[in-house]
Amino acid sequence: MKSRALVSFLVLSLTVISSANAAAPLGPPPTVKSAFTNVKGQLVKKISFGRGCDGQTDYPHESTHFPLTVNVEALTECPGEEVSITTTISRSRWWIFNEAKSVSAEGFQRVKVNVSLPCKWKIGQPPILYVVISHHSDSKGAQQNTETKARIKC
Amino acid sequence: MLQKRWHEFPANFHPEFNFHKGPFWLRALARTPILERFAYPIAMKKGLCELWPSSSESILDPNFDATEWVIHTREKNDLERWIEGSLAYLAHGERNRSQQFFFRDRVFRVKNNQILFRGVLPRFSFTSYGRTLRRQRGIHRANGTYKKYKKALRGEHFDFSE
Repeated sequence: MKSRALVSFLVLSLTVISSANAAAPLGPPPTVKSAFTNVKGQLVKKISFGRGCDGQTDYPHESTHFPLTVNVEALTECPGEEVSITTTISRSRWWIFNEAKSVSAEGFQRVKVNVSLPCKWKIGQPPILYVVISHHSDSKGAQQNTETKARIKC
Repeated sequence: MLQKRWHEFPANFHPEFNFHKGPFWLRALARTPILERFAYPIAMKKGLCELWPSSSESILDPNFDATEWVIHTREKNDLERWIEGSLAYLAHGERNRSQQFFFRDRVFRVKNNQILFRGVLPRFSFTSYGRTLRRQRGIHRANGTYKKYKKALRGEHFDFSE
């Protein structure tokens, strides 16, 4: 009985490790050294970043203008088109019960939102994980998401 | 104790742990629940931990012990931000119907000013590194740019205007 339990444990452990390895070969993005090199550091002849319509989400940070708040900015821009954005900042808590706040905005060509949450960090605690997700769209129906996260003592 | 060093970084800088640049066993360790905590000190010793400024105004605290960290003085460029998922280019027709259904984050309104993003497919990961990978892949799958993301990681040439 004991040996069967031991074998089951070993098989389970190997499965966890092998599945982790199978999912890991790409890894997180290697960083490039400059705009003219690719992720392996090789020279890139041509990089084209689309038609000027993009959405981006900055990193959440502790606000300098409004102390004790964590703040994040996000924007959508597209020349000559109506654009919209919905940005949600969430503070990681127990399991799925995160605290979240969302802001939406619409505008012509360029729209920017600023979302903030009051700080809850206390001395002695580890930094709190903040995750920001933005949903960008334009009047032609293109939709993209962006996401950032940061651990902040706030 | 082991977790403490890699959790200590200056405000307005964010860390990135490049386990993929390390040996195979380190990646496996970083993705093993409970034992993952032992992977971070090893990654620091191997120079795989980087600190990036959160904005152009970020200044590194002179009292910060930068030993074993790789400190960047400039923000990430557009390509790096696109790969990590914080920058996206609005494009049409990159997703087929099944991709649109399975990979797009659904928006659920909780209150007037509170919404949640949740995908159709469940996404599980039991380690911090696994969650980072899951988020990156999730964003690119939702955006229909997963193939380009993989190409970028392999270092292949690709063109956003395709």
